[in-house]
Amino acid sequence: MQEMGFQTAGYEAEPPEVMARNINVGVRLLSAAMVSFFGAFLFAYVYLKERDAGAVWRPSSVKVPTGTGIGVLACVLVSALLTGVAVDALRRRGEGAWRGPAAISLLLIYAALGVQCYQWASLPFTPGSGPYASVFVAWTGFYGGVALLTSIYWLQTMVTGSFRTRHVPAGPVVSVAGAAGGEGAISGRIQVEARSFAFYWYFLAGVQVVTFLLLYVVA
Amino acid sequence: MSARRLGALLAAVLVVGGGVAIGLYVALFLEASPPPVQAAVIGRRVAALELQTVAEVGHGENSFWVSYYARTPGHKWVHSTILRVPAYSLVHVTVYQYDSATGLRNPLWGQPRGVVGGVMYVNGKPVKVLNPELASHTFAIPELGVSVPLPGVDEEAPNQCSNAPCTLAEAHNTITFTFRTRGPGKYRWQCFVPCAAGFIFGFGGPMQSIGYMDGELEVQSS
Amino acid sequence: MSAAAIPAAGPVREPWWRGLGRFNVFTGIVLGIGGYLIGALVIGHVLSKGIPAQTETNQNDIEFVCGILLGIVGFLVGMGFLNYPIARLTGAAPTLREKEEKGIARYFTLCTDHKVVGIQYLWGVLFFFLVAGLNAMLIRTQLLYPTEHFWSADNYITLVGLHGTMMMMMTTSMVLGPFGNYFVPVMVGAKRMAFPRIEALSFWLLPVAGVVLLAAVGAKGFPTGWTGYANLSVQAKLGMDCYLISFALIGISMALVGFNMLVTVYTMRAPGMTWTRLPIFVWSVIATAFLQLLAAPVLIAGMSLVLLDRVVGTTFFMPFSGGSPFLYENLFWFFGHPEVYILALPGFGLVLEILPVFSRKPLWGYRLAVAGLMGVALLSFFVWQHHLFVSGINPDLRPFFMFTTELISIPTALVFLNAMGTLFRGKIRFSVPMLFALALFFNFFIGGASGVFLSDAPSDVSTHGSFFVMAHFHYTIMGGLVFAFFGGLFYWFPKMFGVHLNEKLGKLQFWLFFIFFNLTFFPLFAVGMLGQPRRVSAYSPSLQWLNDWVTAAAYMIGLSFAVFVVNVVYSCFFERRRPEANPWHSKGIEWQLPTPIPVDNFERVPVINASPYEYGTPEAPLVANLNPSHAEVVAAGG
Repeated sequence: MQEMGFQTAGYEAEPPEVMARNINVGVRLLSAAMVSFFGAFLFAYVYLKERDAGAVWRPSSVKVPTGTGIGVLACVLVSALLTGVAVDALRRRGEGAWRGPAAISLLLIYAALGVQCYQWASLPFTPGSGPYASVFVAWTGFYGGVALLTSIYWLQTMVTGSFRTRHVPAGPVVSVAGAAGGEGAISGRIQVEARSFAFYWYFLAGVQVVTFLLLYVVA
Repeated sequence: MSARRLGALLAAVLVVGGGVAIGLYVALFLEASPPPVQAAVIGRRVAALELQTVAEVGHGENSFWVSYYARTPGHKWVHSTILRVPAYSLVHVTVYQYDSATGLRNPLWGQPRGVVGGVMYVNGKPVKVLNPELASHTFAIPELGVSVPLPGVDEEAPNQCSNAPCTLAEAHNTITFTFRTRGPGKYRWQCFVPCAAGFIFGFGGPMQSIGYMDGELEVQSS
Repeated sequence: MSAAAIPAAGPVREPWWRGLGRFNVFTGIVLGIGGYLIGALVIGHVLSKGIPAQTETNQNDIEFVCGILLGIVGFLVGMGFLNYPIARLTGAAPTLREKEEKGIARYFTLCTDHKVVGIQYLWGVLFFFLVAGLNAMLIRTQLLYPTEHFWSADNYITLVGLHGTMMMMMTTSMVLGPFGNYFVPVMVGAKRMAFPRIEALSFWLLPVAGVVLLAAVGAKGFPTGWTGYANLSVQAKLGMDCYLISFALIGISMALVGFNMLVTVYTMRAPGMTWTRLPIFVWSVIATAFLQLLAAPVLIAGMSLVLLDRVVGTTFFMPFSGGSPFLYENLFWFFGHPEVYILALPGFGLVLEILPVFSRKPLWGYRLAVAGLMGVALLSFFVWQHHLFVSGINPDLRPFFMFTTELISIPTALVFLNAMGTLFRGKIRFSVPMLFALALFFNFFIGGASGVFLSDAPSDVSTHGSFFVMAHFHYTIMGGLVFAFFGGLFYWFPKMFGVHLNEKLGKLQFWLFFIFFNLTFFPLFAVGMLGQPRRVSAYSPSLQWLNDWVTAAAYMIGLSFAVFVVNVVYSCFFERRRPEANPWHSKGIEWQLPTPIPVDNFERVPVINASPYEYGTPEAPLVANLNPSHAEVVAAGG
């Protein structure tokens, strides 16, 4: 631990690795909670599909909107890939090289949400068209409402924060608060956050792959 | 009084006030029920009840809801399903049925049960089993074993009732039957045909509401 | 608090009403009401247009749910929860503090001081405990007579549901909320919680959930009891929406608390605070937080799916359309059974924390206790189907779930073993906290033993759905958690408020509570065995005398809580006995700190030198060195 943290009362000046470890551990726990949350939808899917007593799981009138599904999947996967590129660039070449791919990655998550909204608006069935339709609406709904929105929030805070401070000269102190630290401080924080966000977003991309396989391929 | 004690007093008043407000709120909910309707006593240990069922109340908060109405000894129709009858007595029931048929999901309920002689009279004619498809509602008191199907009116019949309480000039069937009460107490009664239009599978709304298709028989010592 | 963060005291005091315009409860309520009106009358109205099932039934779930959801958002906006995210979205730098100034106003705002949040939790939980307790009195009043009743059966079931749901919702926070938030950071030697705003949010969701649940009464109630079984819940009146939303909110709150606690303990322990030096209470918090984090999301999903069935028209639980009510039972109990341990484990941890202090002995079998707590937490995920024994599950599954359920008694028994080992040859002081702690073991033993009958499929068939079940879970939750809560409250009250609660009144409360708790719930085992069902107010006249006995005893439990209220008012505002710095002579790190504990807890990050249970060892060092040198920090691994 750094000496600095003990010399100043108040946790604004606590060692930056505390915040880094909090975010690192926190994102893994958040992902675990997400496993439970989406696990409930998976359970509903398997349970209702397997006990399809009345053979009404997916009536023939319920067509799977595969085109828009591929659209969402593609946006998410490319965005995840770009997140990896951005983290790599950050490690090798600093924050300036991170901004571009991170911003495009953010735009792609927005695009995924846009395609998802379009899909809901043009669904060829209603939520009441059987268990498949119900699971489809709930699962994609919560993926859009929870997974995509939280990712957008997190990445946007990093991207806008980075753009906003790109002209601030680097300060001598690496502070968690960042306000007084200038670009150096921001970079320190971004290093931590970017890696944690990448973990979260890879995880959610994995969820999206499972979603696609179950809702669009196996259906 | 010191500021601290004043603060304590104020906090205590606020907490007690909040508690009383919530208590009143819950108590008002618990007390909310339609007025009881007394059966007319027509002899020693014999009483008479008059009810009607309507497809829609036609006015007020729940204007679309199906409902029962009850008639007081003073011949006034009241929007209530809390019925007071004497204990250990015969109760003659007359139901004016204004709603059309929706059918029974369980054909077994087409048979009047728990009534004197195992028979009901539809427009004066004795009926021991009703075609399940013709039923509109039931009048059932599970604890007394009473279950009586009520045949609906023809949908094409002229002069359908649209605003409760309905009058005898409007299209209806008249069903009469008699059952026997037991000791004092509250007995739940209910229509067992899921007839709540617009609700999932016809349950919900009026089917769960006292004053509509759900009620209580208050049996009192005579 | 750092000097820079304290606003300079100006010569002119601002009028109090100016504060109302800032982000606080007042603005929260105003924006909450506004949000409800916009949600219901504008958004919900537009969305429900053209849907006959909503507009032609006088039960427009879309309008109502939109209203409640937007009302909740409005409240949170009014409280200031969106200020920080919006600032961050526009690129502002992160900060950790929010409204940590002194004064009573901070209790009505978004405050990031974990001690303020702990006290907010304490009064919030107590208030809803009072409301739900009064509901219990009304339930017992209704059961005075077998057939003559005060209220209709419909309203009675809503009353039962309100009592059960509120108790289950609030008691999940009963120990973790006040004591976990207040003491865990202190006990691990941290200056704060890992995510202070999330901590504040987890509290403020609690009163919101309570109010939304109470709103169910104004929306014609709900007929399902606290379990909210589908498909009755799908067909129920508007009040059901309140149940679903409030329980989901509590689920979110629980998951956030668990998340925050785990991160705090994992990452923010002071140098020297090794895993084997963690106070046992903190271990119980870890076990509970683990359950909250993994079980609560399933509850949120379950509540959401029912809400979708009601509002959007999905068919998850409608058998005629391919859904299944059993799906709900599985989702609910996958959360519901771990929830039982979410309630029990912090209570165990708390009493194990108290026992060494009042027997002047080290905690016997520390590692065994940790194994017991974690074992219970782990096994609790594999027992949920015993709630479905009579629901028509595959009979081949019954032996497995019987086995796992009965297996869980082994780690539970370890906790009893720790208690007995600690008490053995100890110098026991029967102070109020100790009395409550000892009572937990007596009560929980009866609760646990009666649980064996319910975990056993053949006997469960005859006891399921009866007052036997009711008596069982009151013995475990009320007899366990609530007793532990009061033990903890009497123990830590001097530290939290700087006032010693009156010992005589405390003992009076304890004996009233303990005696009449047992006189209330023990006869209910017999009532259940004799066939009285839960949630139904009509019962056999032959059981009236037993029911009347229980009702009278339940009123006396109410009286014991009144004694507690009198004690708090008397001790805080009239007697005002200032406690010694360490009135119980505890070795806990929290007792090394001044009262009230400063905003930052520690001026410098402390170094932990010893376990907090080294009683009877005169040469044992103080648990924490509060003013360590750099060399000591490095030596401790900092």
